[in-house]
Amino acid sequence: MKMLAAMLVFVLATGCSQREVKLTLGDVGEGLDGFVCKDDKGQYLLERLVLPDGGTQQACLVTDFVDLQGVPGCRTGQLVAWCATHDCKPIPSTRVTTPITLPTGVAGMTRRQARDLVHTQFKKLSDTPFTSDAPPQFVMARMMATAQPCSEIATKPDGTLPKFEASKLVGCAYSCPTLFDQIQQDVYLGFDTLENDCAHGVATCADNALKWAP
Amino acid sequence: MSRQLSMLLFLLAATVFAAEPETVNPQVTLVVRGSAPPTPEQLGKVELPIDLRVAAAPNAGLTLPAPDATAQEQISAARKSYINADFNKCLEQVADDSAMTKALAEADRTSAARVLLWRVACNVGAGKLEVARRSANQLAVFGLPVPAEVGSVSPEVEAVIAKGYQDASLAKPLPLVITSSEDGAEVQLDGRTTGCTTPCTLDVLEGSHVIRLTADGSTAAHKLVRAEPPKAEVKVELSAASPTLAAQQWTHRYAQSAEVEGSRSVRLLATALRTSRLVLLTVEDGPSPRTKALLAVDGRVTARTEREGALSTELNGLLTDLLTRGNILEPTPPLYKRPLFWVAIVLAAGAAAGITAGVLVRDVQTSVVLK
Repeated sequence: MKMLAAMLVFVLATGCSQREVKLTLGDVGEGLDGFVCKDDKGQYLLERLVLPDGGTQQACLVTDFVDLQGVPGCRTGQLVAWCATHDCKPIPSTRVTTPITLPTGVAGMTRRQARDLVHTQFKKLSDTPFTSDAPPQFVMARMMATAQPCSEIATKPDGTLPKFEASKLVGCAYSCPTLFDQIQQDVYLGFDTLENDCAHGVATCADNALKWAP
Repeated sequence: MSRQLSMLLFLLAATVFAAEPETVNPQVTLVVRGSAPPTPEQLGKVELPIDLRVAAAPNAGLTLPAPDATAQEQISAARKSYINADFNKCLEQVADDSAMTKALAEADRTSAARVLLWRVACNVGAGKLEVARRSANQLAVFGLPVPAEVGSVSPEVEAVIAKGYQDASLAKPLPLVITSSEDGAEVQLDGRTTGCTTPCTLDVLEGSHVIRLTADGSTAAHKLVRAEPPKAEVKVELSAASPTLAAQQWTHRYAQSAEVEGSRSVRLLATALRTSRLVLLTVEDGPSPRTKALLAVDGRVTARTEREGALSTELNGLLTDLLTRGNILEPTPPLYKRPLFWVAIVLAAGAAAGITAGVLVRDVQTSVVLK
Protein backbone atom coordinates (compact mmCIF):
# COMPACT_ATOMS: atom_id res chain seq x y z
CA MET A 1 0.00 0.00 0.00
CA LYS A 2 2.84 2.37 0.79
CA MET A 3 4.32 1.62 -2.57
CA LEU A 4 1.05 2.44 -4.28
CA ALA A 5 0.74 5.67 -2.36
CA ALA A 6 4.27 6.60 -3.36
CA MET A 7 3.47 5.88 -6.99
CA LEU A 8 0.38 8.04 -6.82
CA VAL A 9 2.32 10.85 -5.24
CA PHE A 10 4.87 10.46 -8.00
CA VAL A 11 2.16 10.67 -10.63
CA LEU A 12 0.66 13.73 -9.04
CA ALA A 13 4.04 15.27 -8.57
CA THR A 14 5.15 14.63 -12.10
CA GLY A 15 1.83 15.44 -13.70
CA CYS A 16 2.87 19.07 -14.12
CA SER A 17 6.24 20.78 -14.20
CA GLN A 18 7.20 24.44 -14.21
CA ARG A 19 10.01 25.87 -16.29
CA GLU A 20 11.09 29.26 -17.58
CA VAL A 21 12.47 30.25 -20.96
CA LYS A 22 14.03 33.61 -21.61
CA LEU A 23 13.74 35.59 -24.81
CA THR A 24 16.96 37.31 -25.79
CA LEU A 25 17.70 40.00 -28.31
CA GLY A 26 21.41 39.24 -28.26
CA ASP A 27 24.09 40.35 -25.87
CA VAL A 28 24.52 43.66 -27.64
CA GLY A 29 21.05 43.93 -29.05
CA GLU A 30 21.94 42.42 -32.41
CA GLY A 31 18.43 40.96 -32.59
CA LEU A 32 17.01 44.49 -32.75
CA ASP A 33 17.86 45.16 -36.39
CA GLY A 34 14.15 45.02 -37.15
CA PHE A 35 13.66 48.07 -34.92
CA VAL A 36 16.04 50.27 -36.89
CA CYS A 37 14.53 49.83 -40.33
CA LYS A 38 13.90 52.75 -42.61
CA ASP A 39 10.94 53.33 -44.90
CA ASP A 40 10.97 54.11 -48.60
CA LYS A 41 11.67 57.73 -47.76
CA GLY A 42 14.77 56.78 -45.84
CA GLN A 43 13.28 57.58 -42.43
CA TYR A 44 13.65 55.32 -39.43
CA LEU A 45 10.36 53.70 -38.52
CA LEU A 46 11.11 54.86 -34.98
CA GLU A 47 10.24 58.38 -36.18
CA ARG A 48 6.61 57.23 -36.45
CA LEU A 49 6.51 57.80 -32.70
CA VAL A 50 6.90 61.53 -33.25
CA LEU A 51 3.60 63.30 -33.04
CA PRO A 52 2.57 66.00 -35.52
CA ASP A 53 3.08 68.62 -32.86
CA GLY A 54 6.66 67.51 -32.42
CA GLY A 55 6.05 65.55 -29.29
CA THR A 56 6.68 61.82 -28.94
CA GLN A 57 4.54 58.92 -27.88
CA GLN A 58 5.19 55.56 -26.37
CA ALA A 59 5.21 52.57 -28.61
CA CYS A 60 3.22 49.45 -27.85
CA LEU A 61 5.28 46.31 -27.74
CA VAL A 62 3.10 43.42 -28.88
CA THR A 63 4.27 39.88 -28.20
CA ASP A 64 2.60 36.99 -30.02
CA PHE A 65 3.16 33.28 -30.31
CA VAL A 66 2.45 32.38 -33.92
CA ASP A 67 1.18 28.90 -34.62
CA LEU A 68 2.97 27.75 -37.75
CA GLN A 69 1.07 24.47 -38.14
CA GLY A 70 4.37 22.68 -38.42
CA VAL A 71 8.09 23.17 -38.21
CA PRO A 72 9.43 25.21 -41.09
CA GLY A 73 12.94 26.53 -41.49
CA CYS A 74 14.05 29.64 -39.71
CA ARG A 75 15.09 32.08 -42.42
CA THR A 76 12.66 34.74 -43.56
CA GLY A 77 12.26 33.23 -46.98
CA GLN A 78 11.57 29.82 -45.53
CA LEU A 79 9.00 31.19 -43.12
CA VAL A 80 7.19 33.21 -45.76
CA ALA A 81 7.21 30.28 -48.16
CA TRP A 82 5.87 27.97 -45.44
CA CYS A 83 3.10 30.33 -44.41
CA ALA A 84 2.07 30.77 -48.03
CA THR A 85 0.78 27.21 -47.88
CA HIS A 86 -0.01 26.83 -44.19
CA ASP A 87 -2.44 28.54 -41.90
CA CYS A 88 0.06 30.51 -39.88
CA LYS A 89 -1.62 32.69 -37.28
CA PRO A 90 -0.96 34.23 -33.88
CA ILE A 91 -2.68 32.53 -30.97
CA PRO A 92 -5.03 35.23 -29.65
CA SER A 93 -4.87 34.14 -26.03
CA THR A 94 -1.13 34.58 -25.96
CA ARG A 95 -0.95 38.20 -27.08
CA VAL A 96 0.64 40.50 -24.55
CA THR A 97 0.90 44.26 -25.04
CA THR A 98 3.43 46.33 -23.14
CA PRO A 99 4.00 50.11 -23.48
CA ILE A 100 7.61 50.87 -24.23
CA THR A 101 9.47 54.09 -24.72
CA LEU A 102 11.59 53.87 -27.83
CA PRO A 103 14.09 56.45 -28.98
CA THR A 104 13.14 59.11 -31.54
CA GLY A 105 15.24 61.78 -33.13
CA VAL A 106 17.59 59.18 -34.45
CA ALA A 107 17.57 60.38 -38.03
CA GLY A 108 21.19 61.32 -38.08
CA MET A 109 22.41 58.22 -36.33
CA THR A 110 23.83 55.09 -37.78
CA ARG A 111 21.81 51.91 -37.48
CA ARG A 112 24.20 50.71 -34.80
CA GLN A 113 23.81 53.85 -32.77
CA ALA A 114 20.04 53.77 -33.08
CA ARG A 115 19.97 50.06 -32.24
CA ASP A 116 22.01 50.68 -29.08
CA LEU A 117 19.48 53.20 -27.95
CA VAL A 118 16.66 50.80 -28.68
CA HIS A 119 18.56 48.12 -26.81
CA THR A 120 18.87 50.37 -23.81
CA GLN A 121 15.10 50.75 -23.71
CA PHE A 122 14.51 47.04 -24.09
CA LYS A 123 16.83 46.35 -21.20
CA LYS A 124 14.35 48.19 -19.04
CA LEU A 125 11.87 45.48 -19.81
CA SER A 126 14.19 42.78 -18.57
CA ASP A 127 12.30 39.99 -16.77
CA THR A 128 8.99 41.18 -18.13
CA PRO A 129 6.84 38.05 -18.39
CA PHE A 130 5.06 37.43 -21.67
CA THR A 131 3.25 34.26 -20.76
CA SER A 132 3.09 31.83 -17.90
CA ASP A 133 2.22 28.90 -20.14
CA ALA A 134 3.75 28.83 -23.58
CA PRO A 135 1.89 26.87 -26.28
CA PRO A 136 2.79 23.18 -26.27
CA GLN A 137 3.49 23.05 -30.00
CA PHE A 138 6.15 24.55 -32.25
CA VAL A 139 5.50 28.29 -32.45
CA MET A 140 7.32 31.39 -33.51
CA ALA A 141 7.67 34.12 -30.89
CA ARG A 142 7.12 37.53 -32.46
CA MET A 143 7.70 40.93 -30.95
CA MET A 144 6.20 43.91 -32.77
CA ALA A 145 6.44 47.59 -31.88
CA THR A 146 3.70 49.88 -33.14
CA ALA A 147 2.68 53.48 -32.72
CA GLN A 148 -0.84 52.24 -32.17
CA PRO A 149 -2.05 52.39 -28.58
CA CYS A 150 -1.93 49.08 -26.78
CA SER A 151 -5.67 49.26 -26.16
CA GLU A 152 -6.20 49.34 -29.87
CA ILE A 153 -4.07 46.38 -30.73
CA ALA A 154 -4.82 44.10 -27.78
CA THR A 155 -6.88 40.94 -28.24
CA LYS A 156 -10.53 41.84 -28.64
CA PRO A 157 -13.14 40.58 -26.19
CA ASP A 158 -14.43 38.26 -28.89
CA GLY A 159 -11.02 36.60 -29.03
CA THR A 160 -9.98 38.00 -32.38
CA LEU A 161 -6.82 39.95 -33.08
CA PRO A 162 -6.88 43.43 -34.59
CA LYS A 163 -4.66 43.99 -37.60
CA PHE A 164 -1.62 46.20 -37.32
CA GLU A 165 -1.75 49.43 -39.22
CA ALA A 166 1.16 49.13 -41.60
CA SER A 167 1.83 52.87 -41.42
CA LYS A 168 2.30 52.74 -37.66
CA LEU A 169 4.67 49.78 -37.45
CA VAL A 170 7.91 50.62 -35.69
CA GLY A 171 9.85 47.42 -35.55
CA CYS A 172 9.86 43.64 -35.38
CA ALA A 173 11.85 40.70 -34.09
CA TYR A 174 10.97 37.04 -34.23
CA SER A 175 12.30 33.64 -33.29
CA CYS A 176 12.85 30.41 -35.10
CA PRO A 177 10.05 27.85 -34.74
CA THR A 178 10.49 26.74 -31.16
CA LEU A 179 8.98 24.18 -28.79
CA PHE A 180 9.12 26.23 -25.64
CA ASP A 181 8.23 23.30 -23.41
CA GLN A 182 11.43 21.53 -24.35
CA ILE A 183 14.01 24.03 -25.51
CA GLN A 184 17.06 24.04 -23.32
CA GLN A 185 18.43 27.50 -24.14
CA ASP A 186 17.33 31.12 -24.36
CA VAL A 187 15.25 31.83 -27.43
CA TYR A 188 16.83 34.38 -29.71
CA LEU A 189 14.67 36.97 -31.39
CA GLY A 190 16.11 38.68 -34.43
CA PHE A 191 15.34 40.07 -37.85
CA ASP A 192 16.94 39.03 -41.13
CA THR A 193 18.03 42.07 -43.05
CA LEU A 194 21.20 43.31 -44.59
CA GLU A 195 20.11 46.79 -45.48
CA ASN A 196 18.45 49.83 -44.01
CA ASP A 197 15.28 49.75 -46.04
CA CYS A 198 13.62 46.89 -44.33
CA ALA A 199 10.22 48.42 -43.61
CA HIS A 200 8.72 45.96 -46.04
CA GLY A 201 10.06 43.08 -43.99
CA VAL A 202 8.60 44.62 -40.85
CA ALA A 203 5.20 44.76 -42.58
CA THR A 204 5.45 41.12 -43.55
CA CYS A 205 6.45 40.27 -39.99
CA ALA A 206 3.41 42.15 -38.72
CA ASP A 207 0.99 40.35 -40.99
CA ASN A 208 -1.09 38.01 -38.93
CA ALA A 209 -0.72 35.36 -41.60
CA LEU A 210 2.92 36.20 -42.25
CA LYS A 211 2.02 36.76 -45.88
CA TRP A 212 4.38 38.66 -48.02
CA ALA A 213 3.06 42.19 -48.19
CA PRO A 214 3.86 43.57 -51.63
CA MET B 1 -8.16 12.94 -9.14
CA SER B 2 -7.66 12.01 -5.48
CA ARG B 3 -11.42 12.24 -4.97
CA GLN B 4 -12.03 9.81 -7.80
CA LEU B 5 -9.36 7.52 -6.44
CA SER B 6 -10.96 7.59 -2.99
CA MET B 7 -14.32 6.74 -4.52
CA LEU B 8 -12.76 3.87 -6.44
CA LEU B 9 -11.09 2.54 -3.30
CA PHE B 10 -14.34 2.83 -1.36
CA LEU B 11 -16.26 0.93 -4.00
CA LEU B 12 -13.64 -1.80 -4.16
CA ALA B 13 -13.53 -2.15 -0.38
CA ALA B 14 -17.32 -2.19 -0.19
CA THR B 15 -17.44 -4.91 -2.82
CA VAL B 16 -14.84 -7.00 -1.02
CA PHE B 17 -16.49 -6.71 2.38
CA ALA B 18 -20.00 -7.15 1.04
CA ALA B 19 -18.93 -10.39 -0.59
CA GLU B 20 -17.46 -11.66 2.67
CA PRO B 21 -20.12 -13.86 4.35
CA GLU B 22 -20.55 -13.69 8.10
CA THR B 23 -19.06 -16.85 9.57
CA VAL B 24 -19.20 -18.56 12.94
CA ASN B 25 -15.85 -19.76 14.16
CA PRO B 26 -15.64 -23.50 14.79
CA GLN B 27 -15.26 -24.51 18.43
CA VAL B 28 -12.11 -26.47 19.19
CA THR B 29 -11.25 -28.06 22.55
CA LEU B 30 -7.60 -28.11 23.51
CA VAL B 31 -6.13 -30.62 25.95
CA VAL B 32 -2.49 -30.40 26.94
CA ARG B 33 -0.55 -33.30 28.41
CA GLY B 34 2.93 -33.22 29.91
CA SER B 35 2.90 -29.52 30.57
CA ALA B 36 0.86 -26.80 32.12
CA PRO B 37 -1.99 -25.65 29.90
CA PRO B 38 -1.38 -22.45 27.92
CA THR B 39 -1.80 -19.24 29.83
CA PRO B 40 -4.45 -16.74 28.75
CA GLU B 41 -1.62 -14.60 27.33
CA GLN B 42 -0.39 -17.49 25.19
CA LEU B 43 -3.92 -18.20 24.07
CA GLY B 44 -4.33 -14.55 23.21
CA LYS B 45 -1.53 -14.92 20.70
CA VAL B 46 -3.46 -17.58 18.85
CA GLU B 47 -4.79 -15.57 15.95
CA LEU B 48 -6.98 -18.14 14.28
CA PRO B 49 -10.65 -18.04 13.29
CA ILE B 50 -11.60 -20.60 15.91
CA ASP B 51 -13.31 -20.57 19.28
CA LEU B 52 -10.57 -22.22 21.35
CA ARG B 53 -11.58 -23.82 24.63
CA VAL B 54 -8.98 -25.29 26.98
CA ALA B 55 -10.00 -28.37 28.94
CA ALA B 56 -8.18 -30.47 31.50
CA ALA B 57 -7.66 -34.14 30.79
CA PRO B 58 -10.15 -36.28 32.75
CA ASN B 59 -8.92 -37.68 36.03
CA ALA B 60 -11.92 -39.66 37.17
CA GLY B 61 -11.58 -42.85 39.16
CA LEU B 62 -13.31 -45.90 37.76
CA THR B 63 -16.47 -46.51 39.69
CA LEU B 64 -17.10 -50.22 39.88
CA PRO B 65 -20.69 -51.26 40.28
CA ALA B 66 -21.58 -52.43 43.77
CA PRO B 67 -21.83 -56.24 44.06
CA ASP B 68 -25.34 -57.44 43.68
CA ALA B 69 -26.62 -58.62 47.06
CA THR B 70 -29.55 -60.46 45.56
CA ALA B 71 -27.57 -63.65 45.01
CA GLN B 72 -26.31 -63.64 48.59
CA GLU B 73 -29.81 -63.10 49.94
CA GLN B 74 -31.21 -65.89 47.78
CA ILE B 75 -28.46 -68.26 48.83
CA SER B 76 -28.99 -67.47 52.49
CA ALA B 77 -32.77 -67.90 52.26
CA ALA B 78 -32.44 -71.11 50.22
CA ARG B 79 -29.98 -72.59 52.69
CA LYS B 80 -32.31 -71.80 55.56
CA SER B 81 -35.26 -73.40 53.74
CA TYR B 82 -33.15 -76.44 52.83
CA ILE B 83 -32.18 -76.96 56.45
CA ASN B 84 -35.83 -76.68 57.40
CA ALA B 85 -36.59 -79.19 54.67
CA ASP B 86 -38.90 -76.65 53.04
CA PHE B 87 -37.69 -77.50 49.56
CA ASN B 88 -40.43 -75.76 47.65
CA LYS B 89 -39.68 -72.52 49.40
CA CYS B 90 -36.02 -73.23 48.80
CA LEU B 91 -36.69 -73.55 45.10
CA GLU B 92 -38.59 -70.28 45.06
CA GLN B 93 -35.37 -68.57 46.11
CA VAL B 94 -33.01 -70.04 43.51
CA ALA B 95 -35.20 -71.10 40.59
CA ASP B 96 -34.80 -67.75 38.83
CA ASP B 97 -31.72 -67.34 36.62
CA SER B 98 -31.46 -63.59 36.94
CA ALA B 99 -29.37 -63.44 40.12
CA MET B 100 -27.02 -66.14 38.82
CA THR B 101 -26.71 -64.38 35.45
CA LYS B 102 -25.96 -61.08 37.07
CA ALA B 103 -23.34 -62.65 39.31
CA LEU B 104 -21.60 -64.20 36.34
CA ALA B 105 -21.79 -60.90 34.42
CA GLU B 106 -20.01 -59.30 37.36
CA ALA B 107 -17.45 -62.12 37.38
CA ASP B 108 -18.73 -63.27 40.75
CA ARG B 109 -18.39 -66.89 39.85
CA THR B 110 -18.51 -68.05 43.49
CA SER B 111 -21.97 -66.62 44.06
CA ALA B 112 -23.18 -68.08 40.78
CA ALA B 113 -21.83 -71.48 41.80
CA ARG B 114 -23.53 -71.29 45.18
CA VAL B 115 -26.89 -70.40 43.59
CA LEU B 116 -26.62 -73.42 41.35
CA LEU B 117 -25.50 -75.65 44.23
CA TRP B 118 -28.58 -74.81 46.25
CA ARG B 119 -30.75 -75.15 43.19
CA VAL B 120 -29.43 -78.71 42.81
CA ALA B 121 -29.85 -79.42 46.51
CA CYS B 122 -33.39 -78.05 46.70
CA ASN B 123 -34.46 -79.97 43.59
CA VAL B 124 -32.98 -83.18 44.96
CA GLY B 125 -34.77 -82.56 48.24
CA ALA B 126 -38.03 -81.88 46.36
CA GLY B 127 -37.57 -85.08 44.40
CA LYS B 128 -37.06 -83.27 41.10
CA LEU B 129 -34.02 -85.25 40.13
CA GLU B 130 -34.12 -84.43 36.43
CA VAL B 131 -34.13 -80.69 37.12
CA ALA B 132 -31.42 -81.24 39.69
CA ARG B 133 -29.27 -83.04 37.13
CA ARG B 134 -29.72 -80.25 34.62
CA SER B 135 -28.71 -77.67 37.23
CA ALA B 136 -25.68 -79.76 38.16
CA ASN B 137 -24.79 -80.01 34.51
CA GLN B 138 -25.15 -76.23 34.19
CA LEU B 139 -22.70 -75.82 37.06
CA ALA B 140 -20.20 -77.83 35.05
CA VAL B 141 -21.04 -76.13 31.76
CA PHE B 142 -20.27 -72.79 33.33
CA GLY B 143 -17.00 -74.30 34.46
CA LEU B 144 -17.70 -73.14 37.99
CA PRO B 145 -15.82 -74.56 40.94
CA VAL B 146 -17.83 -76.69 43.34
CA PRO B 147 -18.54 -74.45 46.34
CA ALA B 148 -17.23 -75.45 49.74
CA GLU B 149 -20.84 -75.56 50.95
CA VAL B 150 -21.23 -78.87 49.17
CA GLY B 151 -20.14 -80.40 52.45
CA SER B 152 -23.35 -79.24 54.10
CA VAL B 153 -25.70 -80.93 51.66
CA SER B 154 -26.68 -84.58 51.42
CA PRO B 155 -24.44 -87.16 49.72
CA GLU B 156 -27.14 -87.61 47.14
CA VAL B 157 -26.74 -84.01 46.09
CA GLU B 158 -23.02 -84.50 45.87
CA ALA B 159 -23.55 -87.49 43.64
CA VAL B 160 -25.81 -85.51 41.30
CA ILE B 161 -23.25 -82.77 41.06
CA ALA B 162 -20.45 -85.22 40.40
CA LYS B 163 -22.53 -86.78 37.68
CA GLY B 164 -23.11 -83.35 36.17
CA TYR B 165 -19.39 -82.66 35.96
CA GLN B 166 -18.77 -86.11 34.56
CA ASP B 167 -21.35 -85.65 31.82
CA ALA B 168 -19.97 -82.24 30.97
CA SER B 169 -16.47 -83.58 30.65
CA LEU B 170 -17.67 -86.00 28.03
CA ALA B 171 -19.61 -83.40 26.04
CA LYS B 172 -18.25 -82.10 22.74
CA PRO B 173 -17.68 -78.34 22.52
CA LEU B 174 -19.55 -76.36 19.90
CA PRO B 175 -18.72 -72.97 18.38
CA LEU B 176 -20.40 -69.87 19.74
CA VAL B 177 -20.15 -66.91 17.37
CA ILE B 178 -20.23 -63.61 19.23
CA THR B 179 -20.84 -60.29 17.51
CA SER B 180 -21.71 -56.85 18.78
CA SER B 181 -23.07 -53.57 17.49
CA GLU B 182 -19.56 -52.11 17.89
CA ASP B 183 -16.66 -54.29 16.83
CA GLY B 184 -13.70 -54.68 19.14
CA ALA B 185 -15.60 -55.28 22.35
CA GLU B 186 -13.86 -57.53 24.86
CA VAL B 187 -15.74 -60.75 25.56
CA GLN B 188 -16.21 -62.25 29.00
CA LEU B 189 -17.67 -65.75 29.09
CA ASP B 190 -19.34 -67.01 32.21
CA GLY B 191 -17.49 -64.54 34.36
CA ARG B 192 -14.05 -65.23 32.89
CA THR B 193 -12.03 -63.13 30.49
CA THR B 194 -11.40 -64.78 27.17
CA GLY B 195 -8.95 -62.58 25.26
CA CYS B 196 -11.47 -62.55 22.47
CA THR B 197 -12.76 -59.34 20.93
CA THR B 198 -15.82 -59.13 18.75
CA PRO B 199 -16.49 -60.51 16.28
CA CYS B 200 -15.07 -63.81 17.45
CA THR B 201 -15.92 -67.43 18.06
CA LEU B 202 -15.49 -69.38 21.28
CA ASP B 203 -15.80 -73.12 21.85
CA VAL B 204 -18.36 -73.75 24.56
CA LEU B 205 -20.23 -76.69 25.98
CA GLU B 206 -23.86 -77.14 25.15
CA GLY B 207 -26.04 -75.27 27.59
CA SER B 208 -26.54 -71.75 28.89
CA HIS B 209 -23.75 -69.19 28.98
CA VAL B 210 -23.44 -65.63 30.11
CA ILE B 211 -21.73 -63.35 27.61
CA ARG B 212 -20.57 -59.94 28.77
CA LEU B 213 -19.09 -57.37 26.44
CA THR B 214 -17.08 -54.32 27.44
CA ALA B 215 -15.76 -51.66 25.09
CA ASP B 216 -14.27 -48.19 25.36
CA GLY B 217 -16.95 -45.61 24.84
CA SER B 218 -19.76 -48.08 25.48
CA THR B 219 -21.72 -49.22 28.45
CA ALA B 220 -21.01 -52.84 29.35
CA ALA B 221 -23.78 -55.31 28.37
CA HIS B 222 -24.41 -58.96 29.11
CA LYS B 223 -26.69 -61.63 27.77
CA LEU B 224 -27.68 -65.15 28.81
CA VAL B 225 -27.54 -67.34 25.71
CA ARG B 226 -28.38 -70.96 25.01
CA ALA B 227 -25.74 -72.84 23.03
CA GLU B 228 -27.05 -75.83 21.14
CA PRO B 229 -25.49 -77.94 18.42
CA PRO B 230 -24.35 -77.58 15.82
CA LYS B 231 -23.54 -73.88 16.22
CA ALA B 232 -24.69 -70.96 18.32
CA GLU B 233 -24.67 -67.26 17.60
CA VAL B 234 -25.25 -64.23 19.74
CA LYS B 235 -25.24 -60.54 19.02
CA VAL B 236 -25.00 -58.04 21.85
CA GLU B 237 -26.11 -54.44 21.42
CA LEU B 238 -23.85 -51.92 23.08
CA SER B 239 -25.07 -48.48 24.04
CA ALA B 240 -22.81 -45.42 23.97
CA ALA B 241 -21.14 -44.52 27.21
CA SER B 242 -22.07 -41.32 28.95
CA PRO B 243 -19.36 -38.62 29.12
CA THR B 244 -18.89 -39.45 32.79
CA LEU B 245 -18.34 -43.14 32.05
CA ALA B 246 -16.11 -42.26 29.11
CA ALA B 247 -14.02 -40.05 31.38
CA GLN B 248 -13.69 -42.92 33.87
CA GLN B 249 -12.76 -45.37 31.14
CA TRP B 250 -10.19 -42.99 29.63
CA THR B 251 -8.62 -42.26 33.00
CA HIS B 252 -8.46 -45.94 33.86
CA ARG B 253 -7.18 -47.17 30.55
CA TYR B 254 -5.29 -44.41 28.76
CA ALA B 255 -4.37 -41.54 31.08
CA GLN B 256 -1.01 -43.11 31.90
CA SER B 257 -0.80 -45.34 28.87
CA ALA B 258 1.59 -45.14 25.94
CA GLU B 259 -1.44 -45.49 23.73
CA VAL B 260 -2.89 -42.21 24.85
CA GLU B 261 -2.59 -40.83 21.32
CA GLY B 262 -4.21 -43.86 19.77
CA SER B 263 -7.50 -43.63 17.98
CA ARG B 264 -9.48 -45.38 20.75
CA SER B 265 -8.05 -43.14 23.44
CA VAL B 266 -8.80 -40.01 21.44
CA ARG B 267 -12.31 -41.12 20.65
CA LEU B 268 -12.96 -41.83 24.31
CA LEU B 269 -11.45 -38.51 25.33
CA ALA B 270 -13.63 -36.64 22.83
CA THR B 271 -16.69 -38.34 24.27
CA ALA B 272 -15.59 -37.58 27.82
CA LEU B 273 -15.07 -33.90 26.99
CA ARG B 274 -18.26 -33.66 24.89
CA THR B 275 -16.42 -32.13 21.97
CA SER B 276 -16.58 -32.82 18.28
CA ARG B 277 -13.23 -31.14 17.57
CA LEU B 278 -10.46 -32.13 19.92
CA VAL B 279 -6.83 -31.09 19.82
CA LEU B 280 -4.55 -33.14 22.05
CA LEU B 281 -1.12 -31.69 22.65
CA THR B 282 1.59 -33.82 24.22
CA VAL B 283 4.51 -31.73 25.40
CA GLU B 284 7.90 -33.33 25.88
CA ASP B 285 9.92 -30.91 27.99
CA GLY B 286 13.65 -31.03 28.32
CA PRO B 287 16.68 -29.50 26.67
CA SER B 288 15.03 -29.78 23.26
CA PRO B 289 11.32 -29.38 23.85
CA ARG B 290 9.00 -31.03 21.43
CA THR B 291 5.24 -30.90 21.05
CA LYS B 292 3.14 -33.51 19.34
CA ALA B 293 -0.37 -32.65 18.35
CA LEU B 294 -3.33 -34.45 16.94
CA LEU B 295 -6.75 -33.38 15.83
CA ALA B 296 -9.81 -35.56 16.24
CA VAL B 297 -13.05 -34.67 14.53
CA ASP B 298 -16.11 -36.53 15.77
CA GLY B 299 -13.82 -38.94 17.60
CA ARG B 300 -11.67 -39.79 14.59
CA VAL B 301 -8.08 -38.66 14.27
CA THR B 302 -7.87 -36.55 11.12
CA ALA B 303 -4.47 -34.91 11.44
CA ARG B 304 -1.22 -35.21 13.32
CA THR B 305 1.79 -32.95 13.48
CA GLU B 306 4.70 -32.16 15.72
CA ARG B 307 7.13 -29.33 16.26
CA GLU B 308 10.33 -28.63 18.06
CA GLY B 309 10.34 -25.72 20.42
CA ALA B 310 8.48 -24.51 23.44
CA LEU B 311 4.72 -24.62 23.43
CA SER B 312 4.56 -20.91 24.27
CA THR B 313 6.22 -19.98 20.98
CA GLU B 314 4.92 -22.73 18.74
CA LEU B 315 1.28 -22.85 19.75
CA ASN B 316 -0.08 -20.61 17.01
CA GLY B 317 1.91 -22.25 14.23
CA LEU B 318 1.19 -25.72 15.54
CA LEU B 319 -2.55 -25.13 15.66
CA THR B 320 -2.54 -23.47 12.25
CA ASP B 321 -0.75 -26.42 10.72
CA LEU B 322 -2.89 -29.00 12.48
CA LEU B 323 -6.26 -27.38 11.84
CA THR B 324 -5.40 -26.74 8.21
CA ARG B 325 -4.40 -30.35 7.71
CA GLY B 326 -7.61 -31.42 9.39
CA ASN B 327 -9.68 -29.15 7.14
CA ILE B 328 -10.98 -27.14 10.08
CA LEU B 329 -9.29 -24.08 8.64
CA GLU B 330 -9.15 -23.17 5.01
CA PRO B 331 -5.62 -23.40 3.69
CA THR B 332 -4.13 -20.05 2.84
CA PRO B 333 -5.49 -19.33 -0.63
CA PRO B 334 -3.10 -18.70 -3.50
CA LEU B 335 -2.30 -15.06 -4.07
CA TYR B 336 -4.50 -14.80 -7.13
CA LYS B 337 -7.54 -15.95 -5.16
CA ARG B 338 -7.33 -13.15 -2.63
CA PRO B 339 -9.60 -10.16 -3.32
CA LEU B 340 -6.99 -7.75 -2.02
CA PHE B 341 -4.57 -9.04 -4.61
CA TRP B 342 -6.90 -7.95 -7.39
CA VAL B 343 -7.57 -4.66 -5.67
CA ALA B 344 -3.83 -4.11 -5.56
CA ILE B 345 -3.51 -5.15 -9.21
CA VAL B 346 -6.23 -2.72 -10.27
CA LEU B 347 -4.64 0.07 -8.27
CA ALA B 348 -1.19 -0.74 -9.59
CA ALA B 349 -2.51 -0.83 -13.14
CA GLY B 350 -4.26 2.47 -12.57
CA ALA B 351 -1.13 3.96 -11.12
CA ALA B 352 0.94 2.62 -14.01
CA ALA B 353 -1.53 4.04 -16.50
CA GLY B 354 -1.45 7.32 -14.64
CA ILE B 355 2.32 7.43 -14.68
CA THR B 356 2.43 6.50 -18.33
CA ALA B 357 -0.13 9.13 -19.18
CA GLY B 358 1.71 11.58 -17.00
CA VAL B 359 4.95 10.88 -18.80
CA LEU B 360 3.46 10.80 -22.27
CA VAL B 361 1.05 13.66 -21.83
CA ARG B 362 3.06 15.61 -19.38
CA ASP B 363 1.61 18.98 -18.65
CA VAL B 364 4.54 21.37 -18.85
CA GLN B 365 4.00 24.99 -18.00
CA THR B 366 6.67 27.15 -19.58
CA SER B 367 6.78 30.79 -18.68
CA VAL B 368 8.49 33.12 -21.14
CA VAL B 369 10.24 36.27 -20.03
CA LEU B 370 12.45 38.81 -21.70
CA LYS B 371 16.05 38.39 -20.80
